[in-house]
Amino acid sequence: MTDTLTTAPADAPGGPPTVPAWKRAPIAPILGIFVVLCALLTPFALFVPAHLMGDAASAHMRGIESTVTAFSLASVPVAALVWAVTIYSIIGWRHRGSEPPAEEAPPLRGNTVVQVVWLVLSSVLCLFLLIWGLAVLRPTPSAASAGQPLMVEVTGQQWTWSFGYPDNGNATADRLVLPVNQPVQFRVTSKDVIHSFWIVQMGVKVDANPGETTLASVTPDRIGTFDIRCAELCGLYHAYMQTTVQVVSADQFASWVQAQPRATS
Amino acid sequence: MSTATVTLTHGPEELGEVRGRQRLAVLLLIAADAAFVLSLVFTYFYLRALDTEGGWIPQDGRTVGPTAGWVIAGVAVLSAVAYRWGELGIRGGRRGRLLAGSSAALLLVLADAALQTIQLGNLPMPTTDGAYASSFIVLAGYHLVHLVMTAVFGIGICNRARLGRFSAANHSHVEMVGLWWIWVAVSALLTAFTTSFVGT
Amino acid sequence: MVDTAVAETAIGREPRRRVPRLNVLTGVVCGLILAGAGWGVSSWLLSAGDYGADRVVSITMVCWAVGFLVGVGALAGPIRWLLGRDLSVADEHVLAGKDQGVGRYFRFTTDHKVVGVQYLVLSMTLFGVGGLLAMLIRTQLIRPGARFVSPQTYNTIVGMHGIIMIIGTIIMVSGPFGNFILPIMIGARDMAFPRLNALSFWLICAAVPVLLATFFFGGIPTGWSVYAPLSDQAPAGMDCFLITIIIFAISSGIAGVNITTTAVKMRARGMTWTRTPIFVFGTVSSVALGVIAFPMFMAAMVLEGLNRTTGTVFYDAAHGGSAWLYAHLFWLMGHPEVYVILLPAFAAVLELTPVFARKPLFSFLGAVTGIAGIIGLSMFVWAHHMFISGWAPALDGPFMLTTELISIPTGLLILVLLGTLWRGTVWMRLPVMATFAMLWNFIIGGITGIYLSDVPVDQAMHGSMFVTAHFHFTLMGGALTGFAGALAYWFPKMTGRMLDERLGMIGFWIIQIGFNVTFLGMFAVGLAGQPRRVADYPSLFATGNLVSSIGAYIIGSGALIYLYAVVHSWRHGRRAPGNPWGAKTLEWQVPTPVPLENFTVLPVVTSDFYGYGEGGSAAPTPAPRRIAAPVPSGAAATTQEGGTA
Repeated sequence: MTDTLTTAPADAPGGPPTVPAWKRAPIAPILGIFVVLCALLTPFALFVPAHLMGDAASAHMRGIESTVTAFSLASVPVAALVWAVTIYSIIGWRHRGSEPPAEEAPPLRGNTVVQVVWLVLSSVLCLFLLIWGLAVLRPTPSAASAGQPLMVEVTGQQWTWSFGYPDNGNATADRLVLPVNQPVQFRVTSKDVIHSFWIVQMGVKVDANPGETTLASVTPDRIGTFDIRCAELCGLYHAYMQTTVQVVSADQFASWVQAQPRATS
Repeated sequence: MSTATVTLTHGPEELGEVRGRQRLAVLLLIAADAAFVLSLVFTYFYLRALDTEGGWIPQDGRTVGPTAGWVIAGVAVLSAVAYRWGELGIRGGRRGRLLAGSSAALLLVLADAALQTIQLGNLPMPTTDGAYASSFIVLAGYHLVHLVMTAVFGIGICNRARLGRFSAANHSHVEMVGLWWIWVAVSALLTAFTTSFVGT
Repeated sequence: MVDTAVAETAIGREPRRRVPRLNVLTGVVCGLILAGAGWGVSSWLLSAGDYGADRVVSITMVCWAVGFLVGVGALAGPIRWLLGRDLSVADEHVLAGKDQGVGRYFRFTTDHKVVGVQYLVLSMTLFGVGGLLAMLIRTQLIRPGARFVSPQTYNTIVGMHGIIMIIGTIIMVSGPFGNFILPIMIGARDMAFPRLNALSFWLICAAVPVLLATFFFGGIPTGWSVYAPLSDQAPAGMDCFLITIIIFAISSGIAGVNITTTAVKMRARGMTWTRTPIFVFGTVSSVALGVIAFPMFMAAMVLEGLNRTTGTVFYDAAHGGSAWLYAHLFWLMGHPEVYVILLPAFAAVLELTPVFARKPLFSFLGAVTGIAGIIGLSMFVWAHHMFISGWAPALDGPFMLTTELISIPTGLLILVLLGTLWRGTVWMRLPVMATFAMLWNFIIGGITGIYLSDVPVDQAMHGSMFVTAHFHFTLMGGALTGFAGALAYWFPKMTGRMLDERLGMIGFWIIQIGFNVTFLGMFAVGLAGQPRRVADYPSLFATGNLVSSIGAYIIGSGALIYLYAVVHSWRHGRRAPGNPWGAKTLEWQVPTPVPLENFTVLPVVTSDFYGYGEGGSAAPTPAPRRIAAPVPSGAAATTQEGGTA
């Protein structure tokens, strides 16, 4: 592959050499469409995804929501640019008729500056995404700093969840209750097929694999009732494999866990 | 759409061109087959590394020793060598040597298939216990599939050599089957190597 | 595989009886007979025990496929090779369907143009079935608590919709256009291996009834990804599914080898890589990727089949297996497969945009780099489907990086499209609508893909309707839209008639509007936390699902209009001239209908095919200057070729 294509003779200015190519292009109307699109998309990106994702019940989920908002905002100019050119090409450059139009358009065979700028910009955006993602991924050691996390054993089986509290005298329960502001570590496994343990409002999701134990941790910071759903197709009643998690105060949790039956093992 | 009849304005395609196409196609087919074999090798090593709940080795601990696998691979290599000897013969126009080489190679492949069948028929461990047993069986079994396919190609080459279809100038089919034959030998060695790692 | 000297020896024996032509009916009869025999013998010998039912079903299905292929005449060539009684040149012409009328479309015909049309009809049939299943899914989900079908049936429908659409989209561009158009585009008389070409098509025909039989053997409860160990529990329908995939993997492997060889080895004289149309690059990279990717899928299915019929334990954690093994093998194929689907369609749009913008492709090198970058990266991103499986959390970061890197070559392809439109004279015909729709849809699909590549966001979105909406935006909004454009673009060449522009436009844009309504609604419920593949949902998600279902019906009605336009135009459309779009690639320079041998005189290429506006403003002539008669010495051609040939 040679470079000859990008520097084909067509690249040389065909018209009077005094006017640079970009000045002859309809920059102003495309910029106008771009600005309008940005104005429409920015509020959408700011509010709609985060609103749809609902109120977070953990710092982790708030991190996810701000990530979604940040990525949406970062992609607004990208989408607006592409769509602005697209929309303008429909309006401004269209040709109707039943015969092929004459080949009067400038035969552009690439433009090194544009391509390099495009590549650099997309690389920078990519780098931004990566760094942001790693930064949000990292701050899980809050569990370590805040002392011993509460251990909860989560077991999936078709089509129900069961929970065990090994730190609290092996208490078992068929619903999940957690103390507020206390780091929790889930040890997740399955008795039959793959399930996926998903606490929607806390941004916790990890597969329950038969024969393996997977880990997830979170610190719930809001009292209330939140949704647990299975996120991996697990057979007949997959749709109904859902329950709730109740986040309560530390005292309430202590008395609740006392009242639970002990595992007989 | 109607069928137009066009007189052929081009002569027979150039031998060299056809051979080049066949060669690329056979190499691509080998690449596809290699992706399959490597998936099985990956299966073997992945399950061995995971050793889920200590279930790699069957419960009574009985496994197949590596020796038989190397013997089987050795026979496959020998047959590839015999075939290659015949192929080099036809390159110099010696049809008799091609017939002898490919027949010997075919017999060796059939013998190898018999050995592989005997090994699979007399496994010391049950098929339903332990990921080792499963991973071993599928690798050895696929080698058997390879041998059956190779035997079919070998029968074709022997038969056509007998009919005198090949010459020094035109023996691209011999070459193509030869590429496959070499790959089967390589794959047999890979299988023997893989199944040499038994314990975790 | 014509062996020239062999053909010469065979000519000596003529005249001989022409090869008998079997057809699809003999195939079905022979398949049913062998399937019946296989069923009888296997139920007599093997039906006892835990694995009996699965063994019987598997053997019956394999017997059907083999019988069908024998009956349709697919094995005649190899058997005669074995016997040393090769087909003569006259036999090959008969096999190519010479002078055989419509009947050749129902036979094992080796002419690449027949195979292309067969593929087109097959993929549109699959879209019809898959689309109908999609309508059933959306009807079930139209409101919470619906009981339109049982959860068992629903799960089967979801899985079958998935796999039928996957197969349909994999073959939709590289099948019809890769077979019909690509050889003409590169100046070849046929594919490199015409019999393999027909075999790849008839293998899929053998597989489709097996796939549909899934419904009658208890269905599949697993979705199209058939995750183990759920697939171990599945009824015998799963065996049908596994056999389908194995046959399909063989078929696409053969097709991939054939198309790749054709494009690499059979380009016209003077068609250097820099003069090769971009569609060839897209299709070849896609099918070549499939050659490596699908065997891994096949391996996953073979292992599952062994689990079900012989009691091996590959995915059974209780006996030392692992469900992660399946996920690895599946996604090692699964992510490249996405690009196998997307790239030919994207390349078709890249091919047709310069024609309608009347400008050269903006940065051919950029487009090739973009395609190559996507192909290269696609092998190293599979684990982003396993971020939350827990198999190796330490590797989340690297896989996040590789996944996000894919946005760079993809962005390059978008830039090429925009640059090609830039200051063009955009001729508003039906094919170019795909460019606009794709630029809209694919931006949405790409951006939402970036969310999912981010590990923390994936923890919230994985397994939700958000994922479903995302990949529909790429595969349907991107790839299927590209197919609609490619179909409109090459329809005149393939059928000899123009596609009805008015109906086509109406159908196309109704599909696009319905599509956006459906999947924007699905994004909303996905963000709110609705898992995918559920037969029912809490009333919290009612509005979004209602919107989605309404959108789906809009798609359905648009698709019916587009389908009607296609069928009607095929039979009664206006006769198409040889080159209705004024395009410069070689397939438009041969007459319509294309003669059996494509070219009476093979062309010599002296420049690339995107020289719009570079030879003055004259409209292209029916016989453009770039195609010269073969020059004996090659001197005229080589002056411009330089050393690149």
